[in-house]
Order: sequence, then C-alpha cells, then structure tokens
Amino acid sequence: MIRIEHNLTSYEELLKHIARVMQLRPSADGIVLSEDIGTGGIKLLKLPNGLEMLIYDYTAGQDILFYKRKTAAESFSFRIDDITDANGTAKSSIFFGNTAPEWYHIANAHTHQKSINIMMSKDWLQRMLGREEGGDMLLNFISLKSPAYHYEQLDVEYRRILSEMTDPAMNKDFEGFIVQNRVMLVIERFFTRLCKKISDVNVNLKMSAEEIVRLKLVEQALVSDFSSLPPGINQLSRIAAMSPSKLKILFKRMYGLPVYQHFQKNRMNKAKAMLLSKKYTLQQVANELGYNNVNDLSKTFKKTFDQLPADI
Amino acid sequence: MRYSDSVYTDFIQTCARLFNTKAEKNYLTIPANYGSGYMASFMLPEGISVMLGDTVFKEDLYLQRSPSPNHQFFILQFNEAFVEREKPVTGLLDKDVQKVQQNMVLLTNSLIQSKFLLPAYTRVKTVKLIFEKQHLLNILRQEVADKFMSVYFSQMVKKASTEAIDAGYRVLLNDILKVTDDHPLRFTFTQNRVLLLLERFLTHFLERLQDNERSFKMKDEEVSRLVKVESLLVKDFAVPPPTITELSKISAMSPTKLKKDFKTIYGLPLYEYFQKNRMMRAKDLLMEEKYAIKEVGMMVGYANLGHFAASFKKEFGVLPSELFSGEAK
Repeated sequence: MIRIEHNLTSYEELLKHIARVMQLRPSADGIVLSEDIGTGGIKLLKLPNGLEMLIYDYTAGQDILFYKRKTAAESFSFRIDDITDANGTAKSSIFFGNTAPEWYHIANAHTHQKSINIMMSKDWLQRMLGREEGGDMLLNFISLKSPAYHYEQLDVEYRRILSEMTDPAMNKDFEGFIVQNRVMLVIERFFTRLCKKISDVNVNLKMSAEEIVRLKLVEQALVSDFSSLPPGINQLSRIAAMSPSKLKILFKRMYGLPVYQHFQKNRMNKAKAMLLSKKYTLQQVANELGYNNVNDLSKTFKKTFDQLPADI
Repeated sequence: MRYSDSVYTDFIQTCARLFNTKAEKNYLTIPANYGSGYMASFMLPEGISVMLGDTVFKEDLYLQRSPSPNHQFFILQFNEAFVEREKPVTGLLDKDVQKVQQNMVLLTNSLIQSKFLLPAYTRVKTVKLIFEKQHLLNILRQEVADKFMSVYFSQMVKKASTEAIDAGYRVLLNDILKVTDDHPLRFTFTQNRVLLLLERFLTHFLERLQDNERSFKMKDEEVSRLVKVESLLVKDFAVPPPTITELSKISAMSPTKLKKDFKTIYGLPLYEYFQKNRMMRAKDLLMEEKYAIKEVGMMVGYANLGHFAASFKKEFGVLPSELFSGEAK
C-alpha cells in the first residue's frame, strides 16, 4: 500500500508531494504513474480565473491511501468522483466542502479512479457568492454546516459537462478556457441546486434562524469531545432552549440523523481517521473515543464499516 | 442616434437620454411611446462589458458608433430578430449599414465606424460584449489570439458576416435573456453563458477555417436567405416543419443547392438540424422542472410519448425520465 499523507491546500504542492512519495518525476502539468503503482496519471491545470484543478485518471495497481491531516487554513474544494471497480460497478458523486478537517480516500487496487478536484480559496468563494442574490444564504449555510460535506449524485447533466471537460478531441488551443467554462457550470449548477434544497428545507422545517444557530451549538457540544460520555438530552435541551422532544425532531431534520446516531457516526469517522493515520494504537483510539475496552470499539467499528480495525 | 461609448453602462445612459427616461441600476425599460422591452448592462469580473437587450421599437432606430482612435477594443454581438410587422425602411440608408435581422454573430473593432439599423416593429434579442485584446490573451495563447484576429478581420473586410446564429447559440442567448431576478446565482449564470458564447464563437471560427473555406465563399445575400430558412425551420416545433419544396421556394434556391449550403453553414443536414433543435428544446423544457415529460413531448410536436422518449434517447443517450436519476447506465 502507498500512503500519501499531507496537509496541503495547494494542488501544485500536492502534486509534487505525490510525485515524491511515488518516486516519480513530475512534468510541468502532471505525473504518469509507473507500472507497479498503476496505469494512467494525474494532471494539474491552473485556470485563468485563479482556480486550481487536479484531474486523476488511473487504474490503481495497488491500494493507495490519500490522507489529509487537519489544516488551519480554510479553503474549499469540489470533488467529482467517478470510481469503477473491477466488476464494473460504478460509484459517482460530487462533493463540496471545507478542506480544514481531516479527510481520507482509499483507491483500492484494480479500481478505475476518475476524479476531478477543484480547489478554491475562501476569498474566491466569497467573491463569487458575494455578488449573488442567494449568496448570503449559501455562505451562512456553508459555514453553519461545516465541516460536513455536501454532496450530490452525478446525473446526466453533470456527466455531460464532465465528458466535455475531459474530451480528448478538445481543441488544445482553447483547453484552459473550455475547461474553465465547464468548471464554472458545475459550480453554478451545484450551488443553484444547493440553494433550492436549503430553501425547501427551511420551508419544511419552519425553523427560525435563531433556532438553527442554537442547533448548531448543540451539534458542537455533541461532537467536540468523544473521550467522555456525550451530554444527556436534558443538558442538550437546555443548550438549545427547547423541549427535548422538539430538539430531537428539529435535530434530525437538520442533520439527517437522530441526535445520538449522529454522535456515533462522527465518533466512528474519527476512529477510522485516527487508525488510518497509523499514529495511534487501537488502545489509544479506544481511550480517546471513550471506549473502556478495545473489543467494544472493534465491534462497533465492524458494525459501521463492515471491517475490523485490525484490517486497516 | 450617435454614440462613442466604450462601456455599455454608459451606452445605457445615452439611450436613456434619447428616450427621455432614466435607467436605474443599468436597467432601462423602453418607454411605451417608443416601444417595449428592456436593455441592461453589467461588467464581468474580467473587465468585459456586457449588454443584453430584448426590444421592439415603434420607429426605425439607426445607431452609429463613431470610431475611437485612441482606445482599441472589440465588440462582439449576437443578434436575433423576429419581424412582427413588415414595413419598408423609411429614408435612404448608406450601403455599409448592418441590418440586425441577419441573425448573425458579428465582431467589430472600435477603430472602424459601425452603423446599425433596428427596424420598427421587429423584436430584437441581443447580447453584446466589449472586450480588449488583453482579455483574449488571458484565455488564449498569444499566437492563437493573433491568428484569430488577423484571419477574422481579413474575412470581415471581404464579407460583412461570417457566422450564423444556430441552435447552439440560440439556447445560450435565450438562457441569458430569460433568467430572472429570483435565480439565486443570476450573475454567475449569466457570466457563464456569456463566456460560453465567446468560446463557441472562437472555436467555431477557427475550426471552420481549418475544415473548409466554403462557407466564406458564399454570397452574403445567399447567407441571409439561408438564415431565413433556418428561422422558419425552428420557429415552432408543435407543428410539422416546412417541406423542402416550400423551403426551396422561400429561399429561391434549388432543393439540391439549399440542402448543400444549409449543411455548410449550420453543420447538419436540414432535417437532422431540425430534429436536434427540437430535442434540445425538449431538454431545455425538462430542465426547467416545470412540465411533465408528456407535456414536453406535446410541446415539441410528439403525440406519442414512446416516440418522444425514443427520439430523446437517440439524441442524448438517456430517456427523458432518466435525466435526473443519477446513475445512468
């Protein structure tokens, strides 16, 4: 297995880093994988409007782990993934999120990894959304729901834009311009649909802005520390200044899961990230996450991810 | 009306003065005594000035832009005109006046004087851009930009128009003019489509230059007749399209010549072009997420939903019902 661990928010740096780890020589705009690692390559594009892009298109020869540690700098990235395993089953989605939290991705051996990553600084995002009618709502929503990712399935329209972006018959004289226009279409479409979703949610929830802020406090209290027992529902209900039953209903609508399932999901994600970093023993992870014994952790881990911590 | 503005926000103010009205937030509603419709302008972050318009005037409007010898910039315009009432143009016109009913894409240079006629009772949809050479250099390599400029302007001098508004342009133009205030990302939406217009114009011109030079050899007058044929072909999809015989009469060309020249300009045989446009229109309607698939089928002239679905799949590779379904195989 190849491990690529970093805390970079510059794709140019990241590409150099990947090349170093894989012991490859990068050319000006990308790397070509060597046979033992896989077939295909990674390409870097800098668009005229200031965005950076990495285009991954390869079949992995062995497992490759990408692990990004927490970063202080806040940037945002789009990932459009189209992953096909050896049986031809495809998994495709589009993600948008803050790059600050840790994040990992395993490219399993023999899967075809096609992924387009777009990096934008916080400034860039604010400039773009700042001049839009729906911009404030989106910016609020993005900072509110951070660090969670927002995602959508790739539908036909996204696929069409994508295939135009990676069309090998593209006139190379115009590559930067053509790709930039498609990237902007993806961003536009994603945010337009996100806006629609948010307004739908707000209408359904009939939640005031004040209530949303207080629910956010509840969520923070819930996932900030896993080493001790989570706050009880009564305690949370005091933070939220609403009755326990109202809290439960609103929480689930906003975060999609019941209060303690949300807690558990975040706890397991943290466990997985810690294990993948290879810096902690299983015992340490269990202590950090408030498990009295390693077996309980292993059992819950298996239930969530369908694999034992030892298999990582 | 004479003007020499180099930014469309100024141009809108000039127009407002002409119509004795005020333009707020660079948006001008045409007063009822002059006509109807609106003009609007804004600036893209790259510094490209954009003007949109969807207007009908009650009198012929004659525009003359004086050359600006000290400030070189380029003007790219996309015009589409729909004659609502035929009326002979009053007064005498210079020979070099551009008529907007040509449905053409036109690139001009600030060093040249340009004259335009917007005839009365003609609905004109327009998107215009003002940009400088630097803008092209931001998106193109120097030698590509230079080649484009030199070839384009040498063609331009020989013939007034070089590129017809086809289905691809029309979709973008309509999107730009149709977008309303309640679009949450209106600015980005408009900007993206304006840049796609520019992209399409640049790539088309250079590709055609490589592929064949035939379309440049066609007579201007023939081109304008073909433009008319095209507009009739895509006017209304709810009714069957005109036949070749009808079209050949309208264009005063033999069916063979009509078919050949149409393909040269629009890139596809007549009825394939019709069908493609019909399907693009259907997709547009579906993407609005306002109509049922069946309704859309009817709107583009299919009585049978199965036929519609099959044609749609032939064009886009997916059934109308799969358009939003995520995993398409």
